[in-house]
Amino acid sequence: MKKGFVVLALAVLIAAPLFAEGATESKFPTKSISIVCQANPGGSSDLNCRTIAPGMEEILGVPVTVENRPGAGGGIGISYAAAAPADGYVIGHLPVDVAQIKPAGNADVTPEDFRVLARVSTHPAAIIVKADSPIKTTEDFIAYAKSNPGKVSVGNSGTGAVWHLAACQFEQAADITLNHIPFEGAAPSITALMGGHIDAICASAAEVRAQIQSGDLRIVCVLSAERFGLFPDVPTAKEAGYDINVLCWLGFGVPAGTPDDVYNTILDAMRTSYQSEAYQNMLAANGYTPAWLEGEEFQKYAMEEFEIYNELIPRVLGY
Amino acid sequence: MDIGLIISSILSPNVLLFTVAGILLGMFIGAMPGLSATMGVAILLPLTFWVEPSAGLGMLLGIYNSAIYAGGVSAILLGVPGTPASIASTFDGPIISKGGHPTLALWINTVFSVIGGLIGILCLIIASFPIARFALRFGPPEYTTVALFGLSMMVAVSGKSVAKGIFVGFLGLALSTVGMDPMNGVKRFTFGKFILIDGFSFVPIMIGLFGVGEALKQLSETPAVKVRFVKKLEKEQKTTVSDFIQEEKGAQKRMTLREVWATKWSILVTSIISVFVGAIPGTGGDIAAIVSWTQCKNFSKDKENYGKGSREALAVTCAANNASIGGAMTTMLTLGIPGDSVTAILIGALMMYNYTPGPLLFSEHKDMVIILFGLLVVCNILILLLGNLGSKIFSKFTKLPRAWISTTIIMFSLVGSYAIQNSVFDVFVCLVAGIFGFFLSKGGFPTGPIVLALILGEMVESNFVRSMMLPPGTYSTFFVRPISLVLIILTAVSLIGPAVIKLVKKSKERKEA
Repeated sequence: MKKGFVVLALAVLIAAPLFAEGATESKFPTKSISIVCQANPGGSSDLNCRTIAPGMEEILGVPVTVENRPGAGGGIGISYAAAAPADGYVIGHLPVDVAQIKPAGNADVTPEDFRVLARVSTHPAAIIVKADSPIKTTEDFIAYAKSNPGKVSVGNSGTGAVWHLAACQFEQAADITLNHIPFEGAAPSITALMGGHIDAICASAAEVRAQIQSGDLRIVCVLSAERFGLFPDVPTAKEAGYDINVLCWLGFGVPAGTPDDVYNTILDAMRTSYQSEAYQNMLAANGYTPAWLEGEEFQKYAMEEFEIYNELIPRVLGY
Repeated sequence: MDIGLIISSILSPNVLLFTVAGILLGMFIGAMPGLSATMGVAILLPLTFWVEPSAGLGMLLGIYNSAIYAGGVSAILLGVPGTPASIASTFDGPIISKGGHPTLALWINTVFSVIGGLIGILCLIIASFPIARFALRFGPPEYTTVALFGLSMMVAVSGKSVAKGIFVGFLGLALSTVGMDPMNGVKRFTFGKFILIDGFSFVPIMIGLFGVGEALKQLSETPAVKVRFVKKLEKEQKTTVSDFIQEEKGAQKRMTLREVWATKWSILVTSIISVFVGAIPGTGGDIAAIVSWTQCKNFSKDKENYGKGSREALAVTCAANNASIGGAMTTMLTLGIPGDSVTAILIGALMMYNYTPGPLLFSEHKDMVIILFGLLVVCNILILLLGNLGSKIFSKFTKLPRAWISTTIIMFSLVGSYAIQNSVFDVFVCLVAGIFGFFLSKGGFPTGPIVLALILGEMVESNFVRSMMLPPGTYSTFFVRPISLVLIILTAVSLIGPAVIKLVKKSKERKEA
């Protein structure tokens, strides 16, 4: 008798998930979704993924987890996400790097391998000097660089990183030659600037806000087409007559070929999470500009960026 | 806010609960090879959306402090550093515990981690601004020379054969060149494989060499018959078959006050060095412990025993990595620049609470700064209490049969190396490093120098090139800058010193004869 009961109970336990599966089969999502972050825990990319996930989880009703797969300038994680099945259970975090990876030879993946969801935020590149530097304006900087060709040392967060490429674009636009000094990330370059070991850095304007507010550093100009919301008094290089627009942008995408209904379900959840207070607070706290751009428009934007870097990177890196 | 209110807010049940939770979690993360403090803090960062500042920061600081402390536990008992910061603790710790004093070694780790941690906090409280300003004087030439000084430790950890140590050290340096060159972006030895672009990450290699390699060695030395008849033997001998670590009967369980006091100068110097190393962005507890160990080996009275199971040496490394936390916090709080990878995330947490680190934090949010200091002190006191309790549990594990421990280490090493980057490649790296490490130690080659070279190799390379790119662009830059010159002299002392001492001794003996 007892044995029979146990067998029955086991049978029910085993069969129950089968019925559950059958009932919800048609409706996406039925299992947990992972967002693949192309960088280590702790950076701006990771923070972006971890802040958007809880809001999506609430709407989709399944766990949305963040999976860090760093390496090769983002190439490892982004190509992993691109190669995932196009069923919506793997979302790729797509920063500007997705437009740079292929030309830099870090992985064989472009924005075309994705059906992009949306761009969520941007932050501009900027030329930053010590607060007591005699360089005050964009013109000062260029005049100084022209009288000392190849001698003005400009730090960046690493060779081939977006901020290094920004400095190269500025170099071209202003017809100057700089001494690029790569560091292992933005923080060491900021430190070297504060210690007076280099003349300037090209970095994210959002990343140095603490040092700007404390009066240690000063932004000469931002390299985006429009002024930066966090420091609206800082002019753009464009205002001084140099045609340049470099933004670091962050976005998301699912593998190309993801069906419409799945795609729309994810996009709707992401939009709601993006509008949530928690997410907007994160953007504000970090100085990132909210920059929602979804679907086709973002796809077009990402490909335009790809074209720019595809031409720039081989020229700058020499291969 | 007055002090009374601040203290009561730190000691409120809610804050204490989160802090204790952080510390317990940190102990687990720290003791597990492959899980790092950075990972723990990053994953719990979103907590700051829902929890009040003092509780959220208490939890994050708890993880940070206790993970660095607990990394030493696995370093001592298993010879596997739980976090990179306890690399240097593997040089003396396992020798002490295998010598029959596991409880004593764990006690040293707990007590000196807390002493180092508290000295670090004291430096943070009284001198955070000057320390941070000093850290800024570290330019590329200084980074180069401090890394060179750390590399000179290769000789000291080589054990019996310096030649073998240097051989594997250079092998490590060669390994560190794999991947994208840090200055020009040229891909070296990648064979067209994307996975090799970032080179080998050193944690899987470290876990492989120290964890898998050591476990394989232990297994190879365990007679098969003993393993097979564990139960029978146990019954017959009424003891376990574990000869991995055996507490001696009546072994010393803790150091006497006099013994602790005898280490005062080494510990004080170590803690201060570590605060500065911690404050310099890009260098953390691992380099602090390596540099302190090397420094103390040059000058300590007990220098003969460093690397051979010196209690003082273990104490130095345990104090060093925890003291570096105080240093890392100075640059983070006063300049808004992270001193290491964990403080980078803590900056994010502070930002979430709308506290921007920097001088303004000290003038506008004085109460928050005091709460942070208070939380750090509370974390260290809790580590002392919970750590001593934990030691009793930890040391029980050593009573398990050696075969169980070794196989468990191998399993955790492989899982841990996957966890770092969710990369199967890293698991293979760990496995290959383990097998390689097994043969190395069979052949009498030390494994420490390889890891040392992997930590410091790229730092020397990129900063050397960077120094050359900046004016004046000649080697003189290393000798005209005072900090860099001092570091070069120290490096020379630790390289040539032992040989000179030997020569002097010999000539004295000859005279006497």
